[in-house]
Amino acid sequence: MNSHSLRTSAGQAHWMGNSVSEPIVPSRARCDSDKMQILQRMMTTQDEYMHSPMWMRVGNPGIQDRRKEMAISSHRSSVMIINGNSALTWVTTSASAGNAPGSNDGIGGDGAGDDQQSQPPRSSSSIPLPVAAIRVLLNVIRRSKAETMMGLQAELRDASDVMVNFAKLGGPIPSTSAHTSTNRNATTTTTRYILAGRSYIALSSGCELFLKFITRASLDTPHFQQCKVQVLDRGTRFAELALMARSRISTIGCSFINDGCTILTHGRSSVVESLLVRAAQLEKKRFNVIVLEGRPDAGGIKAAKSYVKAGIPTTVVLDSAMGYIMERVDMVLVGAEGVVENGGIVNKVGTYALGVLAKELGVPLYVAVESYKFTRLYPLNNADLPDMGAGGSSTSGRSGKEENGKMGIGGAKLRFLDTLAWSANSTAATLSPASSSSSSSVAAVSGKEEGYETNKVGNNETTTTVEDKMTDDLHPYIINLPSSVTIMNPPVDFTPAKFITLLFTDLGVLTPSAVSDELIRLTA
Amino acid sequence: MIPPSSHLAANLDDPHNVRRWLQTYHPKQLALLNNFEISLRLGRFSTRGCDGTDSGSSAQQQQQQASSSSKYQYGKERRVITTRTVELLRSIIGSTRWGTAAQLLTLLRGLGNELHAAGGYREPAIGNMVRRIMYAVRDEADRAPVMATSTSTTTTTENAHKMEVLTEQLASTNLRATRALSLSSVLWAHPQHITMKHSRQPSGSVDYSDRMLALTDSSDSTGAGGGSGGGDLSLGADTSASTHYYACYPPHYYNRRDDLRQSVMEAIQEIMSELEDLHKNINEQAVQHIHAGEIILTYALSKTVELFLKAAAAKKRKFQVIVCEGSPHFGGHAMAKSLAGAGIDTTVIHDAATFAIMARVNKVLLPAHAVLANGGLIAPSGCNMVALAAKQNSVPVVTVAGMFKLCPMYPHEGQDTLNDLISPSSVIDYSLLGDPVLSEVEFVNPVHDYIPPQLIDLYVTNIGGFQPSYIYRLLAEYYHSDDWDVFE
Repeated sequence: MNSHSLRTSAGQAHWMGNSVSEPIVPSRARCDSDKMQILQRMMTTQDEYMHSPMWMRVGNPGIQDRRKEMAISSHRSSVMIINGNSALTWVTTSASAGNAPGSNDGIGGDGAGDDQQSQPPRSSSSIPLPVAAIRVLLNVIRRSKAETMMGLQAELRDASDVMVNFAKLGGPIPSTSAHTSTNRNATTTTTRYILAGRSYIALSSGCELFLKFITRASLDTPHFQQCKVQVLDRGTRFAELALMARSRISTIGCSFINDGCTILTHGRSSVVESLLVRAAQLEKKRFNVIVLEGRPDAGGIKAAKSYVKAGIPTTVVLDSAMGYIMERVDMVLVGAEGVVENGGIVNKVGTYALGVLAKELGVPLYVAVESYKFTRLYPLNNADLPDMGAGGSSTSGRSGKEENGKMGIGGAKLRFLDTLAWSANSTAATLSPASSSSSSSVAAVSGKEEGYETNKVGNNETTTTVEDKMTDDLHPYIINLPSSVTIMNPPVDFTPAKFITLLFTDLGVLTPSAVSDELIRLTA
Repeated sequence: MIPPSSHLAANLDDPHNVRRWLQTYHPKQLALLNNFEISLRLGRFSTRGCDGTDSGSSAQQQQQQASSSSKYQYGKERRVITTRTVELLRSIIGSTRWGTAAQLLTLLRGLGNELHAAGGYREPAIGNMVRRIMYAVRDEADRAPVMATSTSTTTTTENAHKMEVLTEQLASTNLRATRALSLSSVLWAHPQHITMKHSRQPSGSVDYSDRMLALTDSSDSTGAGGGSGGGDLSLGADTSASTHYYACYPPHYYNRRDDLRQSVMEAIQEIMSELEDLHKNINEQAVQHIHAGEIILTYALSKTVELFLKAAAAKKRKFQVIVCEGSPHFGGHAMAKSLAGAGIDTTVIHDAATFAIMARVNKVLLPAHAVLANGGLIAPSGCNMVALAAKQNSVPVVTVAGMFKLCPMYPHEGQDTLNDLISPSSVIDYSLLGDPVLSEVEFVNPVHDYIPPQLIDLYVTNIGGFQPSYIYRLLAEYYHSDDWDVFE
């Protein structure tokens, strides 16, 4: 009975082209605990460099890169491009490690079983994008040849611009990444999809916070070298702090979950995941979770998997069923890509609708978000949101073909599929007959692991063939629109503060109005 | 790892040890504490009335108590309890031999736990007072840490290291970055922020905290200070099985400060005088809120509201008051009597008539049991209905509350937050329960209501009027964020 949703999610993932993401997640699971040590050792020997896991490697470009850098280093900006590129690849890979839809589940099965063992699952073991970015900036400092604080700051600003632009536009793609295999290209394409303009806000606010941090540190110590050492030392702590934010938020947020309550979530947020998993496993709360499917990246479905893995009774509904389901919900819990100055949030598209609905029905809407996502934007409506890459709209043409080389970042291509017809036909053929019971809007994800396991195994073995078959399966059910139809696919929307009850952050529980306070104090 | 100078207070490192510590070194203070707890448990504060400390309108209060002593009088003893709590803390802190700010904070935390338990967890003001004193201690300890460390740092004075220490301290003095966790203080990345609220996790936490420990030790410790910080950390991790949080104070809290006692006592004295002037400060604002010819609706009995209305009447304002009787305790009757005695035009209605009469009301004045961190209000049961009726009719809802009712907690449990179910004897006569049918019925008698912040327009406090959305800010000014959830 759950096979529909699973099939569907797999299919969707495939249309979006993220199946290529799987090569880049070789061993992230093992790394989290000792990543700092590895990081510090990293620069020393090439041997170690060559054998360290790839995503660890990228932040510290290898010997070749360093040589290249020497060659060009007469020119500061060129150095920065290299630095920036290393930054990029770091960000992109760790992003796919953290966010890649497939990293922990069927699609991108990372083969090794060690991922599964880390109990508070993937959420706690992956690095959030802004933290990765901060680490990149730390590396930039480490390798910087700047002699003055101004110089260093300029370099950092360049580097963060490169990263932010990449998140925004998806380019320029690092061409200097000679040390990477063909996988790397796959990585960047995927990442562009993964970032899909969404993480842009989080990334830029994280970078901005770090730059502010540097500025402040530079005021302390007049001596540049000393200052640099101190900045590095404190910056490392700063990154630690950002990493710990998640566990702190889960601790704070758990107290809001009462036994027997039903929680509705939207999108896939690692903070929300770790919060719920903590509540279920550590605090032994008993509650139900209802997950919205999360078109188009099936974020909700992916999140549902980790909830089920944590033993939380989970139900998946279509995004459009949020109105139907709201009356039986006790609280809505979402993450956020960014928290803006007026206390509103920017989050996966649909959150606004959810917020309005929740308010109407008197259901509290809580937001679990790290404080480094606070950003100095002041949008008044959705049109005020910063340009998320390729706008939000694209004209559809064509059938299933790639229209052109550039994938709409913000408006990643949408395919429209008659899932019902497809599943009605395909269940008979490809799936076990027993599972076609619920073709209604509510598909229950059972707590059984089996479905996932088989799915996973299948994917691990022969990913491509399975998915080729899947496209063939899907093809008749994809509905092609005439090219005159405009398709809008905004990745995020803006939820004004009045729809938000409270924010769970690592600074504590905040009311929306406290956000601007924090931001103002930051600059004061 | 404890500073050698303070061997006496050596076991004052865990709030659970406080009673034992008092027993060993300060039996007199322990007796004081026991006495207080007994009175608290027996509810003696209400019958004994007001002491000399409770100046001002004590005569009126006595009369009030006499008039309704048989009735529900939970709200009346509150200021007495609050004042007496501060007095008790003052006498214990003033006469016991704690050495450092960290020890003092531990002592306070232990006392807070004791008093909370003795009060049956029903009186949030006790915790609030302890938190405020803790905040004062932190404030004083943060004020001049440079001076303090200069005494303890004598051996390990490597130049660059000292430089770093100094800059960190400079940072803390200049910007008060250590005071509370905020976005800007995160920027300083002080190690205590990393360790501060580290939650216990089943796996992976061990190596994490170890690393943190190393960080704390290496970066800005000055030998003894940082070392004891580490010691406390590990100890806290062992003993805090029941609570998930444990405190890890900044390193300079472990330094001995001779001027600390003096300044903390002064801070407590400030709190005392604030409590004494509480009603005076609130009532000064009465004329701003109560205008001539207005019809004010209030609910049941509240000392603060009563004095507030009387203060307005004393200024020759002519207004009408409608009092909801406040079933089942009928505090409204006593309230109406008292108001009428002061020459105010008073009407009593039964609670069910609230909605009917709301259309002609100009302002609703609600009593407060506690003000919550999100701007919500805990008020006598029935107030939520009043607030909803006011909202429906767009009547402004004003709450009068002293700042000692400001609680750093969120309404996690909705209507059950800080609530209490008391004997249903006021709802149903026990003699009727002999009826076989009635004995099958369940009678519930909740004391309080939770009123969400959107139903409240204004809080009038002793430090001014605030919107509910501003409450979070007041919390940051009154309590340190680390002390929010120290009493469970």
